[in-house]
Amino acid sequence: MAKLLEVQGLTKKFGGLVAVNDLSFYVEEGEVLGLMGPNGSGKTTIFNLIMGDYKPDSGKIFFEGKDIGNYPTYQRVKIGIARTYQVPRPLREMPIIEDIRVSTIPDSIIESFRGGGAHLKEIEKIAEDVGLKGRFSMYPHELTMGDLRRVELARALATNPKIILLDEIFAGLTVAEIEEIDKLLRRKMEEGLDFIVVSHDLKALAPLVDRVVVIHFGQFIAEGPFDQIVNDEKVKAAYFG
Amino acid sequence: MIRRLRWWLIAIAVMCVLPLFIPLGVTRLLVMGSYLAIFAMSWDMMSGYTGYVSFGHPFLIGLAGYVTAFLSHQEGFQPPHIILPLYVTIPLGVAAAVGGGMLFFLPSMRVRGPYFALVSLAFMEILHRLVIAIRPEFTGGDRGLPHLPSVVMGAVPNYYLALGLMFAVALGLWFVTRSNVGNILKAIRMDEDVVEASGISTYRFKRFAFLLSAVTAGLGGTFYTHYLASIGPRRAFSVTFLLDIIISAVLGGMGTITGPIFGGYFLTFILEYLRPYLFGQWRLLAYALAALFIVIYRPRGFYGIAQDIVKWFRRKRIGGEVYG
Amino acid sequence: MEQIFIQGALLSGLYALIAMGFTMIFGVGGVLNLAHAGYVMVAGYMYFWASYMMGLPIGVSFAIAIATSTGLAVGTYMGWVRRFLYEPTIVFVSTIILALTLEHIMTLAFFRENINVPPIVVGMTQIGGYSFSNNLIVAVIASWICIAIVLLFVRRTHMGRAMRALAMDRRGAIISGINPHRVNLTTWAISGALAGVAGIFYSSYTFLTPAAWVLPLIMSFAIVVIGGLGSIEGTIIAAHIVGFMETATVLAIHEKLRSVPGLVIMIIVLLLRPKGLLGR
Repeated sequence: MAKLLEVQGLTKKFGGLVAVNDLSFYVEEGEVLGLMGPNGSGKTTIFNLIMGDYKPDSGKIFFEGKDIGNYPTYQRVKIGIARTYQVPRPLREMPIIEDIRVSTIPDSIIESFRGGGAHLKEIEKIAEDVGLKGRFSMYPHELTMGDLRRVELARALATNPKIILLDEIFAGLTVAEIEEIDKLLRRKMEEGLDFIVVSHDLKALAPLVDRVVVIHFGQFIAEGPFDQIVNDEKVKAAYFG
Repeated sequence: MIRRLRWWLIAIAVMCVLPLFIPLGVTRLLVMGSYLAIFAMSWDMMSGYTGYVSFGHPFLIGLAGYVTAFLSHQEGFQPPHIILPLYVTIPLGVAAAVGGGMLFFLPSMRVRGPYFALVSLAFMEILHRLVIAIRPEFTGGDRGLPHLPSVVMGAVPNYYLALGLMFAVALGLWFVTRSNVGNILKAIRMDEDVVEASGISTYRFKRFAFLLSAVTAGLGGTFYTHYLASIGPRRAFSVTFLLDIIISAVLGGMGTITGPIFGGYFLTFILEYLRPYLFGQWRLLAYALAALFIVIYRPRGFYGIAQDIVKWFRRKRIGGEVYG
Repeated sequence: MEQIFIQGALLSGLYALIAMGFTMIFGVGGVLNLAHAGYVMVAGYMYFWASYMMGLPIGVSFAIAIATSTGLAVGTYMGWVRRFLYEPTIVFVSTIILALTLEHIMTLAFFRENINVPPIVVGMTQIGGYSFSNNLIVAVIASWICIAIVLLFVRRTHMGRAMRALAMDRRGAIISGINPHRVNLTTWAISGALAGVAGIFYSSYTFLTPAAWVLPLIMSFAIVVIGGLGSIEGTIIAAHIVGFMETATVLAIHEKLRSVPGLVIMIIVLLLRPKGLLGR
């Protein structure tokens, strides 16, 4: 299977702190990768590097074989990488349906004027798809955490991505909400979407991922199928000390 | 939407017939108010929508004004002593505003946040100094350039000119904000990173907002200069002028169309009518303090206050909770 | 030539004082206080009022001036900036309106004319064959003492470290138990005090006028940009670059163009190295 997304030798330092240290891993087409590691191990930083929010001190990032290191963030989104945030960042003053619309607007002034971007029906379909029916005109402050995470997901889906980086999508959700999101993600997987899922919740992670990469202090610890990894000595040491 | 449109048409109709009923002095005030409204809308286009506060509007306005003044001056553009007609100098003035604006837009976009404001302010200061010190025989130095030709003469024709200009700008602004472009700009103010992560080059859209802002500032600046028939550095590049514009937009309500228009007229009239009651500096102090309070307690300005009033009425009618 | 040296040193020292306060507020609090230069101007007036109009001794006048600027700074912070730490637009607009308000108040109290403040220390001194005004020398020394105190404070004391921590990583610092409110308050107070000292000497260097806050404000921006936001050392260096360039321009080229070289350098820095000289 071809490699969809690959990072090689990624390193990022903030002053004296080494957030990511010579990390390499890849995601193949059609697979879901789990990214695990204790708090502060650098998972969000890795996502930020992949998305282009930070520039790595060294290392390369490849998408579909192309080196995207010099691509600005919006360009990376255009070629098919999307993300959700650990703490949801909805557009505060917009009803969520408008928030999702923003993700469908084309990156061109002229096209935007001509009314480019999705029709309301299409946007509503995306919102319904993630389970937000009946809440289209509500504002972020009126929604539960579960719904906010759905909005994040809808926004990411609206950009027609090939892979979505999910940062702690299960955090702060009830068991019922986790189940729903889980079902949603699996449906998307069947439709051919790839994911990198970051999560602390091993139980939620287990049914989703094909393979797992474990990091600690920004460094590669282990990699392999889920069942194998949770029993790995090095991984246990990283989590439990 | 239709209801809103009706109000607008009524307002336009009223403003068109107004000069027949009011004294000439008030008409003149309305002209000043219209221009201030144009500048306020121009500022709001950039600062109110994208959140990138610009302190460079006097720069844009002054640059446009000086270029058109320069080229249409009584003495002509020395040494060839060419006097260009207004329909040439005004577009050139607008072009200058756009070109000059790009000069400070480009470097400040490489860094985020407040740099834009600082750089724009720096440009205003630089232009101020250059105009005074470099070739004062051309630019009029400290005193500026007097005796400029007018587009039309007389208070009433100028009133209609200014009014027409203002409505044109308002129409353009309306068109933009209703569109997807407007949505993007507002989203940029809310959370620029998220917009980037949605596959949109925020730089492109910010630049567009800035272009609009610069074009309108240039239009306003050139026509205003010819209305006043003179231009001078102390008035054009002053912090007071800058704050007049900002306060108009803020007081009226940033990020709206009616806000800056209302603010422009309001400020012009209030300054004028307070004249007999509050002497000199006290007047300026009072309005500065009022502006301070409004910015802090009611950032949405009068537009926000008006919205609150409407909401209060609706609540009274329904007699219960107001949703949404 | 020697004029450029001593006057440049003075202007640089004053600019350093003003810009340091400015950059500290931005580094620690994340907001730009555009009224900062206004405090400088007010302090200058307060000193003039206390020592020349009321005839109070120098020490008391100093204290009054510095207390006023510190009070203004703290007042601005407690009054509303604290509430709007995440709304930079509002802080922006409101602080520049505040600066204008201060200008109006000073105009009401002292009128618009330029006041020539007599030097604090009279006399001239001979150094190496050139004579310098004592006032300038004392001012340079005083500003350097203040700069040194601030540097020591930031580097050695607990509060100083807290300030730097907050500037580097807000959430991390709060988690470590640092109280952002108290640190912000201290930062604002210190910057107010620095503005006060700068104001006293600025008023005797150049004449006093209510609109005197505009130029220092613009130059402070330039300095902070050149030196790099968040770096006090960078600010000091940049202040000297800008200060000397301005002095050289005034004395050697054209008085009216004083601000241009500094601003041009700021633009160049933004284009080539947006982080500034020592910025993070």
